[in-house]
Amino acid sequence: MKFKFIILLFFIKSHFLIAQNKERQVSVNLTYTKMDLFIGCSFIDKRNAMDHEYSIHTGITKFFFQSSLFPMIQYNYTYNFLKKQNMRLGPCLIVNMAILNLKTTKSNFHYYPETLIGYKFSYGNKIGVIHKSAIGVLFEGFKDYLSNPKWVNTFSYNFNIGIYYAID
Amino acid sequence: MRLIKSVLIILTLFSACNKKKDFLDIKILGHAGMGLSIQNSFYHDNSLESIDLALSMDGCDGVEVDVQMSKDNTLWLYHDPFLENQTNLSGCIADKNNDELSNAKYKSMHKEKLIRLDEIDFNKLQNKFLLLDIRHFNNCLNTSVNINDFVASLIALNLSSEIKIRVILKNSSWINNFTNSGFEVIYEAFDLADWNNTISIYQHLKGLIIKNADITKTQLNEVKTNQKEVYLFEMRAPKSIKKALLKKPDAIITDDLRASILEKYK
Repeated sequence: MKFKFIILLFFIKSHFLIAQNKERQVSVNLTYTKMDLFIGCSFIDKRNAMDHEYSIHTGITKFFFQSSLFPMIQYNYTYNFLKKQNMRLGPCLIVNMAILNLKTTKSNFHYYPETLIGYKFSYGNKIGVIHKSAIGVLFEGFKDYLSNPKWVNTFSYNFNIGIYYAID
Repeated sequence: MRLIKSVLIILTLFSACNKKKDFLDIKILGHAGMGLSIQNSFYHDNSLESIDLALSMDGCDGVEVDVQMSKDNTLWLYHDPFLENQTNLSGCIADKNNDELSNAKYKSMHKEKLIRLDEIDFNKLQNKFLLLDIRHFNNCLNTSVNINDFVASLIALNLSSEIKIRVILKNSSWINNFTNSGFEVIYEAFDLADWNNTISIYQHLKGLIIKNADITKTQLNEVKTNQKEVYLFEMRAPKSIKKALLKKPDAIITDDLRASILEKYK
């Protein structure tokens, strides 16, 4: 009896999972920020009206013109209030973290956490375009010349365009 | 196999382009703090926050600031000729008294206050450079401010000898007033001909400050062989910063402090 109940539960759960309308996408994108123009790729997990996007980027100016890595990781949560056959639009929350090593006489890491709110728009089916714009707060944290931690903050913005491909 | 070879060739070229340059003798100075009108600057130029942030950074050897004198003979930091360009006030600094100027705020996101020169934390400048770009002209009245008052105000600050102070002048007729009062003066020239004319008259000048684009490496070496310091300014992009460093000046006054530190030490 117990076994039948578990099987029944499994089928109900599977049914709900299918009904959840999951979709996964990968994308390549460009993000213009206050600190640099970043190029990167993302994995997007779509569940009903919600998008969870995980990205890695590197700063183009620092990488291509100064031969230095300026990596940035990003998490983006979007709730699509407009969800049509091939179009999605909704407010989004973006959390970024970038690191730059200024490599003076010792390791000189500068950290750039950033939180922004804005909107995300996507259009397409199997292949499509994504656009995000957001404003928020950017922090800079580093050890000063006396090795004391120092944090400053300012207004910031992100403009992002990309192309996605639905993998399932 | 062909792909691996291509990748190896590209990587070799990349690392060859990235070979280490010896820029360690060149000082990196922040233009008005973290840079003038630069997108990645957190604060407005010449503000206390911007200067403080620049001086906190490991790799920054000092700052250049723009100095103007108020009606009360107090030295204030401000770049533009007119206050309405950047602040909530209008007119010129030379026509305002200290009470009026103490209410001035920049039209920026942080609304930083206009500051007096003596508000800078001079402890952070120990063994570092402080370049004072003297703005001698009152654009509202089309006259120069009183030079003796200007020099007296600067002397009254009693700046520590531990700070490497250089006075930047565009007006050659002011040179003797500052050098006679013990200040080390660098002359801002339009080109090398202008510098040669000026140095032939004022041989006691400490050095030359010139736009990066207005001097070649050979011309710069010519100035340095005469035991004069050379400061380059107006550089934002990594390419122009690199070009400036390759000329081997004594210092660069940069608009992108982070990029310049990275370029110097990488």
